[in-house]
Amino acid sequence: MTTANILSLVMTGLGALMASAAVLATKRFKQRASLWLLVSACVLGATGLLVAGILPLSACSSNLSTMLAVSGLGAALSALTLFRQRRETSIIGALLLASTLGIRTIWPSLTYTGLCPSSVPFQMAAILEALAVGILAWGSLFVLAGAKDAGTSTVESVLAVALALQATTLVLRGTGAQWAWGSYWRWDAIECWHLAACLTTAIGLLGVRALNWRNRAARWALYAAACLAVVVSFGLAPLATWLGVNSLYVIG
Amino acid sequence: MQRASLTILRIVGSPYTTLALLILSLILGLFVGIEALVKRKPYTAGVSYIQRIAAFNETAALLPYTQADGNLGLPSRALLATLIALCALRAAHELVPHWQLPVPSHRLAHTEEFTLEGDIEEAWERATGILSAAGYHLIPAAGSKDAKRSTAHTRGAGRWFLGSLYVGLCLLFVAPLLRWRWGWHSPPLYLSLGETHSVERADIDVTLDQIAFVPRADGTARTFDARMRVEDAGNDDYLTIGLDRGARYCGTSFYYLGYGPAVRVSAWDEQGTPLDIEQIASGAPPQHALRVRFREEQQERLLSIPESDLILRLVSYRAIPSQNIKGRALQIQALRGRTGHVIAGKMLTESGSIRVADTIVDARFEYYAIVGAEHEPELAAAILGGALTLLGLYGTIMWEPHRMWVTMKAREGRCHHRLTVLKRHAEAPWFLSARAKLQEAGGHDDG
Repeated sequence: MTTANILSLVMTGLGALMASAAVLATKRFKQRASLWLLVSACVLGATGLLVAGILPLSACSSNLSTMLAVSGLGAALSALTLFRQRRETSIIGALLLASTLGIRTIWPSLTYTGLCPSSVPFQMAAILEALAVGILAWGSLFVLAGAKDAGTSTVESVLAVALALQATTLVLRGTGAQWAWGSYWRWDAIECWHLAACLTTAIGLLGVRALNWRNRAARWALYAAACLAVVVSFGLAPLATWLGVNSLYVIG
Repeated sequence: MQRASLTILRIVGSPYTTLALLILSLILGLFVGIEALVKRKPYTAGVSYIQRIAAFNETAALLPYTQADGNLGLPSRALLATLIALCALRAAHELVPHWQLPVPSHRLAHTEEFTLEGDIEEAWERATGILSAAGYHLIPAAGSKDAKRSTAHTRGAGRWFLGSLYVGLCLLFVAPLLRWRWGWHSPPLYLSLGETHSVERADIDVTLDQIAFVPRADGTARTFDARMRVEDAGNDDYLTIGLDRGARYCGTSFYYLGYGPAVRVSAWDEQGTPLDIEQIASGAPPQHALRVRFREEQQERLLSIPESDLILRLVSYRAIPSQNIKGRALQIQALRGRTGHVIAGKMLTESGSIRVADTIVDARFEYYAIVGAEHEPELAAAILGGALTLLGLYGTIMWEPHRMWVTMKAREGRCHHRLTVLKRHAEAPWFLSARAKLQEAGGHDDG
């Protein structure tokens, strides 16, 4: 194991501890202390991933624990930007960050045997996709936790940010595919799953914005988008890659 | 006729239509995704596609991509044409002045009604003046002497984003049709070093000049760069393609599709005189040095050296675990031409030679590249479409368009003024502000 990897593990481990401390701080102390701990955990976690070589974007998309950690960062960033005054916000964000950084620390090489292209657009797509999953997961848990005053506006914000990220992911994947083998879209299994996740989010946002979906309908739209995004990113896409139904080649 | 066209416009502009299209696309995406997992899963007896590909050094791993040549059936073209028409209409609604979306259905809309005193022309002028002063851009719609209609938008670039989104989608849907009509791709070109193939549709010749291959420990490619010489009417140019990297020459794109093992075979006698070698049943003329390619479906080759009365049987292996050979291996057997008896044999794990009586046969390990040549007329539309779609999406998410439908009707000497917005905007500050200003100007709320 290289020095950079050891340093990365130490930093992500410390980040996980900080995030856990943020959960406890929210319960026992003041919200401000919790938020600062969460910010520190984010900085440590992100630095740990950078040190390990997430940038310049090497083999991120085939490493599930790294993807999980990026999702945790996405959740924590949502917690730091939306509804900061609420306790549930930082608790959920910190819990997600602590668990994902913890998994990254304990099991850093949780790499599926998939065949993942390693070009910059694909790797950036993987990072944005993971961030979108984190934001959707945080939003769902936040709404599920019963934040009544958050309601439809939170759902709309979460869906809007997630849709922007997922759409960018699709475009980046298309760009990478065009660079690599000259086809930006070929109804590949993985492309289709990501498209389905993106469309589910788009349907949710359309419903909330134009079709007047409120309360329960809006919440269910968010749950559906979050569930599909998680299942696609951490289940179906790796499975399809492993099975090789995407017809990619070995470089991951 | 007017009623029918209004109905069509209403359907086109309805969010329910958008919802139906999104759901249809979702079902299609899910269907293809599930089908891929369920139907294409069982590659023989638990051997995954990855292992199958790895078992032959990724040869032709990407061939399925090139085989999908953009042939669109009639249903696909009809679907694309419908989507293009729909997106074009929506884009026109957003971008063309005086062609605005009709008032949404009452289920989605919130309406406020006022009564203004005075003549309709005067009341209309007053109301539109107030909305203009409040920062709205009013686009008049078709009306009559006793009825005025207009759509009020917020000013600024924000209102163009939705149009940009639909133009982008339109271009993305047009791209496959351009590909189908004017695009083409060549059959895969299997190129050994020094070998030339012609790309007939582009009227150019391609020669593999050099390969830079860096393998991983498991034999798979870390990097694979192929340098090609392109000859076009006497002009030469060099292109390099590799993993994740294509190249372009005068409208023709070249992409790496895979690679495979090849061997350069040469032979000479004891005096050092080169001997001719020919590949049996290939029809190619004998040469002093012959490059032989191995493919997944053909890992055995037969060569003959007529001057020495020898037949060489070459068998390529990716690995032979039973003999503890983890990397690439080549079995060479030399047979006497007249009798067919095996007179020598050797297993090579790297370049080497074998001596058979007074003949020395040399085998150099090489690789060959599989290259695809394509003409992609749709690329510009796809790139522009993708960029506009993203721009429109970001813009619409960040600056959601503020839109009001304003109508005024003269009835019984009074002017009935109606403001309609989407239900979700009923409590939006911008709408409340506009309503308050109209009330200040003398409008009586009809409740």
